[in-house]
Amino acid sequence: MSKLITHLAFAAAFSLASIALAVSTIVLPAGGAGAGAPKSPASAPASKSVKAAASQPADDLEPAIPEEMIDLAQQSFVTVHFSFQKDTSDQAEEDEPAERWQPSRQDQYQSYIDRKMTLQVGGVVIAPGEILIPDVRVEPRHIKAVEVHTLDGQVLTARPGALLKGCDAATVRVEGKDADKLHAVHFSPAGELTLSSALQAVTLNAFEDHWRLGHSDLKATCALPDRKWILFGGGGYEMGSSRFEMMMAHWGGGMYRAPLLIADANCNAIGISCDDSIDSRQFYGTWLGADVLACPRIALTDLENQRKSTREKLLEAVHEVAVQFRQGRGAAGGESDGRSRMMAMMMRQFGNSEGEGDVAGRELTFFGIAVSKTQLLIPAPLDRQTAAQIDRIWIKLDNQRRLAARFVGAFKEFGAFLVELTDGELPATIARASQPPARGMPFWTAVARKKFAHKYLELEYARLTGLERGYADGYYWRADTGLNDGMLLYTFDGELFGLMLHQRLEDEEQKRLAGAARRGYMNEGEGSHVFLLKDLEEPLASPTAHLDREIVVKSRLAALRRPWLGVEFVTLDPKIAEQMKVSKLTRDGSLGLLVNAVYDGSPAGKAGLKVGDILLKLQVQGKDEPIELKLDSGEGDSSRFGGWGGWGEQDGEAQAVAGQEGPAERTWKNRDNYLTRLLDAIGTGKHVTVTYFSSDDPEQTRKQAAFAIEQAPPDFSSARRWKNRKVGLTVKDLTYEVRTALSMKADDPGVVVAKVENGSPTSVARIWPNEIITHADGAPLAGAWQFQKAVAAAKAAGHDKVRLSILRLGKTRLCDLKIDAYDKADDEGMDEDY
Amino acid sequence: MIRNRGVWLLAAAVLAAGCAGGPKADPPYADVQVSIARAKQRVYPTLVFVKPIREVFERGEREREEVFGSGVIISPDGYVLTNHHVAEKAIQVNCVLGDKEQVTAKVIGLDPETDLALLKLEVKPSQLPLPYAEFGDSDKIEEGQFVMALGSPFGFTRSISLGIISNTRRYIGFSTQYQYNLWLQTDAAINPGNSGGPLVDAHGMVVGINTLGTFAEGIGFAIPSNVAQDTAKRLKDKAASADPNTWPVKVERAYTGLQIQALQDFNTNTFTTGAALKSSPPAALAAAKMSAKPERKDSRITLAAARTHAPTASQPAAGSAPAAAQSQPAGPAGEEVGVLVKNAEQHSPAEDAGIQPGDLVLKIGETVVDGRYVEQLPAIRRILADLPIDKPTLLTISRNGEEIVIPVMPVLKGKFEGEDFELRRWNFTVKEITKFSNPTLHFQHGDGVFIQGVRYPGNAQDAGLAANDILVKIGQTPIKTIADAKAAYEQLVNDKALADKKVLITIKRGGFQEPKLLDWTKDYMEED
Repeated sequence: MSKLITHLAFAAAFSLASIALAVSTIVLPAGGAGAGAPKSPASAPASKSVKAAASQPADDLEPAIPEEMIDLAQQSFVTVHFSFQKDTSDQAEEDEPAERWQPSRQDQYQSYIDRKMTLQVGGVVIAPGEILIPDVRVEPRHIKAVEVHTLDGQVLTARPGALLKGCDAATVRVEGKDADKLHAVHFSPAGELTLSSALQAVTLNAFEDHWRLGHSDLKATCALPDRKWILFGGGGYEMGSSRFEMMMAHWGGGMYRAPLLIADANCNAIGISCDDSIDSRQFYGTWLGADVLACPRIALTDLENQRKSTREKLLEAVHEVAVQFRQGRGAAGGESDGRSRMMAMMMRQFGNSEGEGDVAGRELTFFGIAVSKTQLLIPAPLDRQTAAQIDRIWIKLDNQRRLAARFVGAFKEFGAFLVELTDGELPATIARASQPPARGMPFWTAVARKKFAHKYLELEYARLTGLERGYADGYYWRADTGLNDGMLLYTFDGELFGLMLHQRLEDEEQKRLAGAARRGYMNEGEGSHVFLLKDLEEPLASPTAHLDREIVVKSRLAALRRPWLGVEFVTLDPKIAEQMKVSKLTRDGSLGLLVNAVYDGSPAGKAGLKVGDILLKLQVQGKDEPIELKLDSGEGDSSRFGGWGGWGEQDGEAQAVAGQEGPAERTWKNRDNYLTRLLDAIGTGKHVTVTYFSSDDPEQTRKQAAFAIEQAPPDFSSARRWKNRKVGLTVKDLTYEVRTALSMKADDPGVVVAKVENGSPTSVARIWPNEIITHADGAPLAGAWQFQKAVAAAKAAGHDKVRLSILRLGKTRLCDLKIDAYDKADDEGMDEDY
Repeated sequence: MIRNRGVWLLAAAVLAAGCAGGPKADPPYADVQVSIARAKQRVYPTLVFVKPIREVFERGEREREEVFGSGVIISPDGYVLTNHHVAEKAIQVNCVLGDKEQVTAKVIGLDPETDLALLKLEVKPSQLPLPYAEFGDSDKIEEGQFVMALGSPFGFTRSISLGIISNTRRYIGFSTQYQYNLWLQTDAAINPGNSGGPLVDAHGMVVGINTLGTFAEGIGFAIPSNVAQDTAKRLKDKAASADPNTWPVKVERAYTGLQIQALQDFNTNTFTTGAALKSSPPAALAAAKMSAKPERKDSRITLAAARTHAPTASQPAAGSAPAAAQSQPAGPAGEEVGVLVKNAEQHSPAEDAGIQPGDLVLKIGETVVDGRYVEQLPAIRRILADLPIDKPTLLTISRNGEEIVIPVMPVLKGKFEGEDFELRRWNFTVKEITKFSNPTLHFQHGDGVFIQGVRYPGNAQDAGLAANDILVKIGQTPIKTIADAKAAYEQLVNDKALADKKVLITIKRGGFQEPKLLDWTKDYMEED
């Protein structure tokens, strides 16, 4: 609806402001009811009234519409009415709209069917029995009937015609005798078009229950320095929005405007156009009458056949790629830190509807194109965190065979990645087009998905309509239909000429983080655009130079490792900054992280950072701009984490009375925070200078500390672990942040209980999560694996239990852990290392 | 429970019938009814409805509230025993006596660790002597014995409920503050308001002080009378030697920081073998041993046995372990004894002495320790609590099979619960951290001050302060004691020249510091 209104409003505004466009009323029975209207004695007085209106302009400066133009319009324009039916064939499908808010095509057809309405569009009779209409993209399988209504009230039966290859138009045909009832416009040769060519355009505009004539004089201009390239403007169509597609019946009644009929100064028709791009060379599309008549056509029925055969052919080189991600982030499970959640969100765009939440443990389905006998290109972005978690990749050749593949890498410049078969070959590789199609030429957009449990390509045609300036001042394709991420673009000959890919930016991850931190949403960056094959050839030919070296598959623990500066922090706000008298340096509390813990041995600790310091920015060596450390107040603010408010002592309630203490509070911080994510995005090994000052320093001298980003020691989520389901516990090494939170020294023995299975020997021994086991049978425990060894040794020695020392809130107790159920075969985590 | 209620209803019906002089009463029930009536007669006049007005700080401001509890007169001159949790923080205690006279009472002493309080009724000399209840020997109570709970559940004064003793030696010290005694468990209905009232046996002897109810029906706990008597005596004696202006007094206990665990710990299925004493004469084996109450063979003797127990006013306090130790025969020589050390608290005498988790304590001084079961732990703790302060006591310890003797120097146990203070204009209250009542905060921060309550609505609430936040700084002033908090607060709110009524409060939450801005421009107290 909005689209249509916009058109009309623009046209009106345009005419008033600049170009003389007289609007007259042509008496025409109401569009929808035209079929039943009487044939026209009304027609003659109507044209008189038109002439009368035209001869008495409201404004002396406004030229009247030449009567010849009105005559031309009245004779040439018709309206075309499509009525629809539901496609109930076997091939009927629920297609998915490109965007969630859009209705599907089925919805669009159905809205006409339900409302007993027709889709109406203006057309021009360009040849006997042939009517040119804007390409509204209705599919023959949905068309129940087509009627052509002449402006004098005749109703003729028609059928779908063809698609024009040179311009954004289609035809319908009226056969037999009825064809004679139509008056085909006679196109005169245009002669040489020059700057002084005075062209004019007429069209039909739908207005309430009648049509109005739109008329404008076209202005000529020329390109520079090529002066002979003459361009015309002012036809009343909004530039660049000539996209005609189905729309819902209740959106503006489903009424479209007609094409523009172009005439010369003498009111001789010389051409026809469905958009505003009218130029002497027909670079933007065919419009000159003779050329339109000669323009190659594809019959709509042939188009359907071609769609099917092309699909079959293309599918040979398109394969389902199943990517299995590793199970769980941490031993305790549910430790999702949100990093890969964004990735899952992005992946949903590629048809992975299961990608809600973390990717861990899931198998996501992608579709790749065979770029060589062994390699597939998957047109989807894959970030570091997600790639790191890849466990296995399979190429599903059909439902029976799957071939193992490996991750080769993801590209630096665009959002796509390569996988390679570890064995075997792909049946076919993709055919590559030597040239992209010319403007106005339809091409196929393909979205791979599954249909009827098989791989499938949803093919729609589109046309290049223009270029847009974008990333790095490049000019990128704009099409007349929406192009979505991951779309494959094929010529009508079935050759790949481009892909719609995400444009990756330099330091994209850092920028996304900064955006998310400040504004609470993910900065999508540059977005996507068409990458023509010529731009992809070099990266595909020698991928190593173009792959992002940071995006690699990692072991579970290595994937969980993160770099550190070695601080915990909270954010400020304007009032707190004012009270701390740091408003200026922190820009009213919007900038800066207030340090509230510094870990021993960390870069921050070594650089002498202290609690109370405020970190302002990070300068990465070699980068022009520092990264400001600012995030919405909230992260690092303990009040965000539920439970702290109730932090305290347990009353002597029933549980305690019965001797059940319950899990200990986990007081250590999750080390996945804005700062560690940011350092991770910058990359280990990079040299960084942090600018900070001490909030206690009355001078507030800005200080700097330089360090190379280093991996933090393992933390709770990446700690070595030992899990044994039958014993019923998961323990982890005591990591630095846990030690700090529990006031334990670096060499104090112990492992932390990460999880206890209900009803297990561990649970029976009243060992609770987050307690520390310091000794087993009197021997201090240096780590999770040593604990496993102690248990295994005790079991081997025929013991049925180990005596453990448990530490909780600085107090120990002793308990016996039954190990008779222990079996080495159930151990988990023992094979993991960095 | 249904059975119990049935008994109670039936008994009421019988009573009515009896009053009417009818001869229809079933003889066995009549027997029970007579006992009940007699017992009731004896204690009912000594029951006190205790209505303290107390000052509380939990909700972020100093507020007064009236609470309802119960008590029992234990001496003709008007000493009343009730619960600590009834009388704590009382600024005034009103009591309604059996003759419907309302009198005030003074809080003489409080002991949170046995949940007992000693009050003295402020009666006119003409009212003396008062009827008083007598204590039975709670060590002789048996499961299944009839008992009555007297009190004012939900403020319904002078109510009696009937039940039996469900367990005589309930240990609830795994993770509660009640470390020094076992409990009587009864199915006599105990509801809020029963607290502090007497649990009475069929002879009208007080065998317990009703203290804890549970969410479950038919599960209530009473402090055994021997413990109550002992605490009452300690408080009375302490008060006698103290300036009345310093009342309420507290029970003094020694602190060693030694934490013990039973050898046969069914709670954690942890079983430890004790050690045979190598050097001790058999006669020395005693102590907590007695508390390991041997299974009685004649457990069928219930009411009959209880009846033979002649109550006297001069019944000595039998709860004190050392006293009991002397009166008990020693076990056979070579028997495995001891209690497991689970922890020697940080910076405690036990830690200083080098006692380690896993050690077995065999003797405390000359008293042999038997800590086979959790039920024996309170008695051992009492021995430790009664050790002479600042004088070394020799502990005989078995470590890795070797017997060693370690001297430990107990110190006076610090206060159980810290002081409160209200920062009225800022709408929150603070409290001292003590390691006994705030172990978590103490572990994180050590001594200090924490936010006890945040008033809603209020300035502290607006600032994002929350209960259990530890106060680190008010403005630039570090807060280490309640006096620091008070001084910093008063200085700021009394500073008329202050341009902005704002202060940065640095708190520690979950172990990490953060600043919060408290703006007290708005006076919430004026609002309501």
